[in-house]
Amino acid sequence: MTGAGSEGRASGTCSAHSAHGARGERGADNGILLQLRGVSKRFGGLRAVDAFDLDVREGSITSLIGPNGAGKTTVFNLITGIYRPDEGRITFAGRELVGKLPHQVAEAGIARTFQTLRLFENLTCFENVLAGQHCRGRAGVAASIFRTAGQRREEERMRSEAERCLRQMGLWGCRDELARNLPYGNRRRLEIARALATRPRLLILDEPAGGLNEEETAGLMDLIEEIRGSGITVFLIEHDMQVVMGVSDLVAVMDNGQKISEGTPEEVQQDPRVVEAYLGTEDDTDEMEEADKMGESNESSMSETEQIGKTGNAGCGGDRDAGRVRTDWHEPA
Amino acid sequence: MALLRLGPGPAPGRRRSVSGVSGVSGVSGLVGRYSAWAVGAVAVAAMVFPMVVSDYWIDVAVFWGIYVLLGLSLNIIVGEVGLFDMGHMAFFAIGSYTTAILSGRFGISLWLLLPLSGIVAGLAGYVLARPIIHLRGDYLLIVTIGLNEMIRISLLNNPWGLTGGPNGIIMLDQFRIFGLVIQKPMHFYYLVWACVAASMFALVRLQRSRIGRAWNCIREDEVAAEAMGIDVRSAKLLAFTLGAGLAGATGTIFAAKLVVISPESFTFMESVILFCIVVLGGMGSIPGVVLGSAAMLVLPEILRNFAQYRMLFFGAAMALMMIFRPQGLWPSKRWTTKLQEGESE
Repeated sequence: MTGAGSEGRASGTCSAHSAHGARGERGADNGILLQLRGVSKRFGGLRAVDAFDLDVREGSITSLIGPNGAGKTTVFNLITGIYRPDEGRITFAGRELVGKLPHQVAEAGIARTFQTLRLFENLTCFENVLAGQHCRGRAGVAASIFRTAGQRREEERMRSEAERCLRQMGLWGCRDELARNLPYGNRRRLEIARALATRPRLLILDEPAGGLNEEETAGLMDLIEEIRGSGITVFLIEHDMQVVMGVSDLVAVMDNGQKISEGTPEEVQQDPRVVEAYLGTEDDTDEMEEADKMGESNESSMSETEQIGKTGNAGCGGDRDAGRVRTDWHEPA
Repeated sequence: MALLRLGPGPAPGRRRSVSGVSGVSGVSGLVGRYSAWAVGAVAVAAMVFPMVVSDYWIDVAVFWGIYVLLGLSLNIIVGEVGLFDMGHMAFFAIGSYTTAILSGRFGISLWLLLPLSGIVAGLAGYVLARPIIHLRGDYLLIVTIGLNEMIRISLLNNPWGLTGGPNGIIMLDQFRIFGLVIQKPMHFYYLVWACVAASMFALVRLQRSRIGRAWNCIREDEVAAEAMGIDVRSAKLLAFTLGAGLAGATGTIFAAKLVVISPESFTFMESVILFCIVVLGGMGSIPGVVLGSAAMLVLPEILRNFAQYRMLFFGAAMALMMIFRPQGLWPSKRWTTKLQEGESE
């Protein structure tokens, strides 16, 4: 069914995001999709996140940056329901998120990727992406055993949606591969495809460029723009300043659990507090490097990460445009 | 000479085990590469089998079938979701005793008790699993071992005079179809393997559905599954309930076959054997369960002739298995779009 149904979607860019039905109707208050107000989280004595405020505008690309250990991932985990904030409110499209379980957050329209990839390693790519569609289906045990008409329709819809996401990421060629057999760059893409399959309004990316080489990073930037173009708001944590400064509409800077600056990429780069946070006080070379990257020097000095990216680059037909997809993969004619 | 006599016995059994599997895949219409006539041949072989072997081997096949059913039920929990349940006999016991008690006291037909015992055991599974379902790995394993012992000892203590203590209960009723009483090994053989076929059909379909995929996702990575919108807790509870339910329904057949139901049939050791069936066959693999239970049940029967060396052989076989084929006898295969294209044609 999947093979036959949707040749029209084969093109790499795939602007056919048409189906995000609900988005238009329930617009958020004054264009703010996600709002954090006074959010705090303590781990023992450590204030990981401290009275954190943030607005993510609908249709924007917003970045959260900061030195290691600043609490960025904790913020993500608070939004997605993995942690519960000690104080503060988080609203998404006007609805309270605090107290919701992770799967309810996903159902509400927030999808995420993980800093350390968390794919379903022993499932195929297609099954990985189908998992994203789970919360958009209803079929129960009886319907699945008896293959009711409704269940079959639903299954077909899920599969064509999964196919769309895979094609968009240029992964249709390796749909029957186990996720663990994919090269690194494609694993990153697969995670994004899986997140997109939940049909989110907000996509949260946790260091999507981590471990990618320069070429792949450029591809990622296009991809993020493209996702935004399809009407999905993007919120990312990223260390690669080339990506952050290249795609973001708004950048928030975090240090020690607090927001120290916010603004357009240009504003943030000139903020002395940001430079100070990145430079640190002592001669910590790691942080110096970070600060270097903060500057305009875009000849990103990735060393070992680049290596990983390079090895991962040769792989199954992961190219975005379908024309370059390797032909030895079984493509339905 | 005992060896010679046994020659023809195990052979048809083994043949059937392998091809019975492809038969099931064919029936569910999911695997196109098995040709229809091969499936038919297997079905015929399975039908003819009890007519050509002695009652003893038919009985072995009946118990094999019962263990396949139990293995399938545990496979939902251990294989599909990755929840370590080493007390599965508890639900089997609940099903068996429900049948024996209700049949003895109220004379309810066994055909009715088959689903009823399933429902009772499923409910018990739900209630018992609810508070412990969040436990992971070995923690859950230990609690389920505890559950198994709790149930077994409760049965021994003869609560309200219901279970008959260590002596158990004697079943008087049997399955009846149009006046035919299912009593002979051959009758049981057909009954059990019909149930196996039906369960496999249902489980293969479940495996290839939204629910089965969600189970597998949880097994692979719980955190990611949750982030993708899968309600992990409910999905786990569902698996536990279904697994317990199927084990409970199997209890009805077991009670009818054994006639005397006593706590000693539901020991921790039996739960371990069940667990081994699933792991040996290949986690999450439905054909694997058939092979696994053959290895755990039929093989010791065949090796009976080696008397005291039997367990030694058996242990060695298990150890070699774990070294050379840790993924199981018949590892589960992932569904692929190629398969699906075959299916739609």
